Amino acid sequence: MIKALILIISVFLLVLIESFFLRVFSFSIFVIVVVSIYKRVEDSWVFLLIALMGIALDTVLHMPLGLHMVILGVLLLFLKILWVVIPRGSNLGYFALLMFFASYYLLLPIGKSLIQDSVFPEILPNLAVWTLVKGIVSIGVCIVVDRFFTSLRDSNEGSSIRLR
Amino acid sequence: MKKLSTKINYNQVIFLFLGILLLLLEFTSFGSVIKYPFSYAFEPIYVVANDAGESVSNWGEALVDASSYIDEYNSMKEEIARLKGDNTERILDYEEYQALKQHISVISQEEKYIESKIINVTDTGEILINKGSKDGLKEGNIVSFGKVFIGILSEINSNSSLVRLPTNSSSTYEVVVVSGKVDLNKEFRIDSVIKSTGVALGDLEGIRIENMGINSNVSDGDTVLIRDERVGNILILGTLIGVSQNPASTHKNGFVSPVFDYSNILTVFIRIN
Repeated sequence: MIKALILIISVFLLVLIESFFLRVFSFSIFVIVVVSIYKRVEDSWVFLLIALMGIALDTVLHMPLGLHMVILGVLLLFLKILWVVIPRGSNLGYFALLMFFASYYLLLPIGKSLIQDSVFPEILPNLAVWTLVKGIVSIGVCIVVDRFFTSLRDSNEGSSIRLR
Repeated sequence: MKKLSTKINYNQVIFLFLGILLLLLEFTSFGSVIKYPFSYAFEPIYVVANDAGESVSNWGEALVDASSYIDEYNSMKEEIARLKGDNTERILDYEEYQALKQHISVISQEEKYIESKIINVTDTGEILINKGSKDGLKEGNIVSFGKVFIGILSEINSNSSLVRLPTNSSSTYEVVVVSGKVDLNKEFRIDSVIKSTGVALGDLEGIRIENMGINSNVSDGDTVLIRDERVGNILILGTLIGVSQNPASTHKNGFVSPVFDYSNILTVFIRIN
């Protein structure tokens, strides 16, 4: 019950913060939250949050319904496979995250244009550079979040955290 | 562990399947049915956050573009200064037009005048004008505005001249006092309406008038006219005020309030013949 309540409040707060950051920096906090809680919080809750947030964002941003869900679902699958090859805790693990963020920022406009207008959009160098910059900034935020989780981690239980 | 892995995969597959299903529903009318409650709940939040983001974004852009705003501000200051200059020039042109119009309506057409601008008014009862010997001005020329006496040219340079006002301490003029009710435009025979003669003396406090007849019925509000051989024509000096009421005195004194505040005049006319 408490988890459900936290989930609902989180969705409202995330929509607020996401809308603000999207307007100011065209930067997504939601995708960072997803990566940060993925495999750290029970999967059913993670996917429920992504589903609710995805539909909410698709609605308010006038995107095709389910676009966020599909893109994040596919990218999380790839991330999971990448983490098999490159451990999440290693420094190279952040390269996998960079790929994840860059793909997210690229796939969203491509998917929107393909589904709504049936046109593959032109990828300008400007967009590619901005995607990379946003990916690197997201990595920076992720590192800070990882450090935060590490500080919360119980010394006796290496893999689990108190939030779970 | 194996069971957990299977459960995770199952969740992820369901999630992907649900996403694809929603994408397909987007193409049907059922998509808008799903969107409606989300729109109802989240649109207000989105609008508030978007507005806040926009204001922050505007401030950020303003800070980034601060240097361009400074340049724009400086160029606008220059533009304002230029427009003020143009405006002042037009006001001066209009004032000159009005002055000429008034002057021409009251002066004799036989006399020749030169129009001049006042450059400066001194504390000693003199004004500097922008016309000089190059324009044919000579010492002693009478400066007036319509029928109002302004002064006499006391010093001439090639491009500027000094006009000695009646308020200057070295100014003395023979004057006559007539009733304030006399219409000077209609009355041609001034002698018949003179109340008294007198002498106007310049003073830093104003223009004093002395030697008015003790038996004359001059009073405050009467008009003081200059009738001096140096001036030639009869011109208006001002209004009589502060007439002395001392019965022991052999004459009456008073002050003359000029028609104009000399510091407010912009244009004057110099009679050159």
